[in-house]
Parts: sequence; structure tokens; C-alpha cells
Amino acid sequence: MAFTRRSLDIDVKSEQERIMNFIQKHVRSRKKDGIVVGLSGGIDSALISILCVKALGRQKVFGLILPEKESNPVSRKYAEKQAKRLDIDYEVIDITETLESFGVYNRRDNVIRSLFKDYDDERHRIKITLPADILNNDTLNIFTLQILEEGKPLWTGRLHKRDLNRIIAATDIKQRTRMVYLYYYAESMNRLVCGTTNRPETLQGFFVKHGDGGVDLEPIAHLYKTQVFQLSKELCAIDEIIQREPSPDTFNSYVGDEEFYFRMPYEMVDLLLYTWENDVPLAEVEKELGLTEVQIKRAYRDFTSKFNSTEHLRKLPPSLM
Amino acid sequence: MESSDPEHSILLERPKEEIDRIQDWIRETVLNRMRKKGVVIGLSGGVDSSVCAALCVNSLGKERVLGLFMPEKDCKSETNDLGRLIASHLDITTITEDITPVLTSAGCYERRDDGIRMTIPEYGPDWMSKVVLPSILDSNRLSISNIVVRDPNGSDITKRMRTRSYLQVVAASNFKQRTRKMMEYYHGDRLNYAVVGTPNKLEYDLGFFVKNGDGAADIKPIGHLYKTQVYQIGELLGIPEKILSRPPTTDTYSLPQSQEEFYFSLPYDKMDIALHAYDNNYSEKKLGEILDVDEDTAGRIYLDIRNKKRMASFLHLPPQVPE
Repeated sequence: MAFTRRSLDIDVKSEQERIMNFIQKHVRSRKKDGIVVGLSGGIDSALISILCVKALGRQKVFGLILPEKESNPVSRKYAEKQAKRLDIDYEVIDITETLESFGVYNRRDNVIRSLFKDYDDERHRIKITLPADILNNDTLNIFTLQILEEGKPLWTGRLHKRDLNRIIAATDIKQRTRMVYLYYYAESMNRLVCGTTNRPETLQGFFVKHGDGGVDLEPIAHLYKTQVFQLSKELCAIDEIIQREPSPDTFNSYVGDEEFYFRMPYEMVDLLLYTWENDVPLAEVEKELGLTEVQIKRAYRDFTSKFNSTEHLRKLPPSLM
Repeated sequence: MESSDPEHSILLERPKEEIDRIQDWIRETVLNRMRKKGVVIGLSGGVDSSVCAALCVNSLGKERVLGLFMPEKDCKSETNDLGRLIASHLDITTITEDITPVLTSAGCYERRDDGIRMTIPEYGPDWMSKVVLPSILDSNRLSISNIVVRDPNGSDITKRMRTRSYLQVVAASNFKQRTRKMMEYYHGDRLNYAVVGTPNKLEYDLGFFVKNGDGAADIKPIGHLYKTQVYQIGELLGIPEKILSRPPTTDTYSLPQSQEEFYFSLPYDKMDIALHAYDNNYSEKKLGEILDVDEDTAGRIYLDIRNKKRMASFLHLPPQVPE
């Protein structure tokens, strides 16, 4: 079958059945009493909570909303609204204090100050991005750090690997702390922790090892983001969440998934990832997506490099056994 | 253990060669395959982390090994003393991160104490506690846990825990292992170092670790060695005697708690033999003869191993994906 923009369309009913069976099977075979899921106010966790309720009934789904001081305030609002719509039990725990006692903000800000000494965490905001528009911009994945004041760029500099590692090491504690809370609730209620990673995130390694990647089940890891949206619309996730632009919601200024990691709108990531995974002939891709060979190859090169450099995230740790 | 009898012995025949093999593997895995610059290892003062640290130092050089001390308020002072002993013995750089404030703000202690009060309502803030399993040699207890609490006057109360109470106490205590692992990953990610996991074969196969806690790591250099074998190579590696002679402890509860009473239900040397016998399909009768217990008891030991292996297999699974 020739590749078209509709190649990613799914049959909602059968896909929903398949995921429900998967969730039921694992909860049953592990002899667990249900699911705990972290609700971020984003579309992936909204869809997961809907599917879990359909699979297990609302009493067996517990939502945890874990904001911190740098989270977008609407994240919590949307997450609560989604939980209320589903009528599931949920709890909101602000994890700021735990992150502070870990030194997350201090450790990160010390790195920032070593690059821009006047950084003031009261007045300034941080933005970390990759170069925009990979299809038209032949640049490597070099991260840029931007300091914003009142929403306007104040300072911009290249972020070297060593400094990036130090910043990400600190901010990854946010995702890992959420994991720890999820497991506390799951273990004390004899439940499984459900992850919310989708297919592009899985393949491109856009998750934190032992953080949002440290879960028991990943029911939508096989779905492209477009498919997540398609299912979420059909299954009536709240409008605010469906209309939101995907974001990691990790920095104290707004950074979208596209600027932070993927360098393309998610629809294009999905389509090109699909053609990359399925070896669709280049001519077909060019024609259907209106791209040149150079552009497609640029995207593929980025896919391959992210796939290879994150391979260890998808594998079991090496051992002598 | 009758180490002279080859059938019963699980000592390594060529321990020096095994040390070389592990050290080659660490070098190859960390530097070439994972492209990391070194390793981070949490030091508990126990034999497993001490042996792992020594293997890493031999294999990578001491300047590529960072030791972490991560005490919290329930730790015994021995943990700190022996941790520092191995670090100075190996002459490695160390960092101390007291995790008590993180645990307090996450509600670890409070949630645990609430869990204990589900069983013992009078449990107070200055009391101490631990969770224990009765010995498998005494009774058919299969995973019914007791809580032992000690009041400020030093008198103990022991009570059987209800499921909900047990689950909450263990879940809350697991904050400790997970917080430590997060701290190890923070330093590992910051320095581009791999994180070392220190489970031995008993712990690995029987699931005595916390998922995303001490069970998580980039490399597990002694995951294939019985505890007896860890001691065996520990001696050859020159691990200080004080560390080798310390009984294995969880150091998770405020009262001293051995691994045997919390999880394994047999002393480690017997558990090693039992696991080896199980994996090699020895009959219950034969296991009974080796351990000098009756056949019923041997049967209970096998049942216990079977249950634990089943649980461990889930803990080792990567997150499950449809199809």
C-alpha cells in the first residue's frame, strides 16, 4: 500500500479494545488491584487515564498530580479537570519542597550562573532549545541557552555538552521524583504504575531513565502522537488538553517539545518517523509530503542519531549473566 | 558449608580469573560500549558495594570512581564508618549527600509511621521499628510479616501486620532506596559516569531489591555471584576484615535488621546452597540432606524460592508495551 498522509490513521474502536485488553491482562496476571497514573495535564496522560478507566472501571484508577513551582499553572488545572471528568480518585502533591531539599534548583542555577553570572532566579527565566526547523536548517543538535527577562531575550549562548549534562542531571530529578511518588502510591495500594510515553518519544529517547521511563506498563508506546490525538478526541479528553501544544513543562519558561527536542511539528515527526521506520521509497515521501530529498535525509539523519544515542534507554542494563 | 565436597560447593574454582574477567568486562562496558568516563557507586559499608568499588578501581583506576555516602537519620553509625573505611582503603574521591531532608519532605518517615500505627496504634515518634519474617525453619510462615517496635524504655512489641499496613510501611521505606538511586544518577549524569548497581545473585534472582531503587543501574558487576562468592573474591581483593565480618543488613529500619529476617528467611550461605540446588533441580530430599533439615522444610524453602523468583521476574521486566 502506497504511503499517504492518511497512513497513520487508526481504527479507534479496535485500537481501544486492544489497549484495554493489554491493561486488563497485565493487572490481572500480576494480581494487582488497579493502576496509578501521573496526570501532567498533557494529552498522553489524559488518554492513558481514559483508557485505564475503560479497561478497569474508575475505582481502580488513581491519578497523581505532581506540580512544582516551575510547572505551568494550567497543567494542574487541566489535570484536575480531566480527573473530575472521569470521576477518579486523585491527589495533588506539590513536589517543590522535595525538589528543593534535593537541591534541584540550586544545582541547576549554579551551572547557569557559571555561564551568565548575573542570573537571578527571581527575575530571569531559562529556555533551552535546539535550532528550529531541521528540514530547512542543516545544523547539528547543539543546544542554546537563553536567559529571558520579562519574556524578552536578555542573553543567549551555546550550551556545551558538559554544562548541558550538568543542567539536565539536575532537572531530571523532577521526573525521577515523580516516579518515586507514583511507586509509593502504587506499592501501598498494590497497584501498577502506568507510563505515558508515546512512540516518537520511545524511539527518539525523549524520556528520563528511571524517571517517566521507569514504570510497569507503557500502553501507548506503540502510538504516534497523531494517533494519540485521534484517540483522545474520539474518547472525549477535555478540549483544553486536546488544544494544548505538547511541552515537557520542565523549565521555568515555556518550551515546547518541538523547540526542545524534535525540531519539527509533531505531525511531521510522526509522518517522517513512519516512513523512516518502514523504509518508504523516497520518491513517495517527497511527493506526498512535498519535501525534497535533502530535507528528508536531514530528518532521517537526526532520527538515526537520536535513536542510536538513546539505545541504552530501551535496553536492559548489560550484565555478566 | 562443606566446601570440600564439590557437589555442595558453590565457591568459585578460579576466583582470580573471575576477578580478571569482571574487571575486563567493566572496562569494556563502561569505557567502550557505554562511552562513559567513569562510575558512581553508593557506598553502604557492606561487602557488596565494597567489592564492586574495588573491582571498579582495579579496572578503571581510582580517579574514575566516585563514591557516594547517602546517610539518613535511621542509618547505623557503622554504615558510615565502614563506608569511609573502604573509601580510604581504595583512596577514591567521595561526596556525602545526607538524604534525610529529601525523605522528610517526601513524607517517607511520616507515611511509614502511619503505616505502623495501622498495626500498633500507640507507636510514637521516638520509638524504633523493623519488619521481620519468622524463620522458615521454624514454621510455615510464607510471607506473613511481623512488625517489631521498641518504646523509649526499651521494651519490644511484636505483632503480625495486616496487608495494608505492611504494604504502606514497605512502600514508604522504599523512598530511601529510590532517593539514593536518584542521587547516584544525578552525579552520574552530571559527570557522564555510569551508575553501578551492587545486587548479588541472591538479591538479583530472588528479587531482593527495589524497582527503580537499588535494582536500577547501568551496570551490575556482581549480579551473577552468590553471596558466598562475593565474600570469596572480597578476601582476594583485600577488602578490610571489618567489612567482611559484618553480618548482611538492610540498614533501612531504625532497629537493627538482618537481611535474613527481612527477606531471605535463611542465612545467606544456606540460601546460596538452596538457590543453587533449586536451579540444578535437586530433589527436596537431597536439599534436606545438604542443609540438614527435614524434607517438609526443604519443600517450604523451594516453595519460597519459587514465589520469590516469580516476583523477581516481574521486577526485572522492562515496561510492557502492547504486542
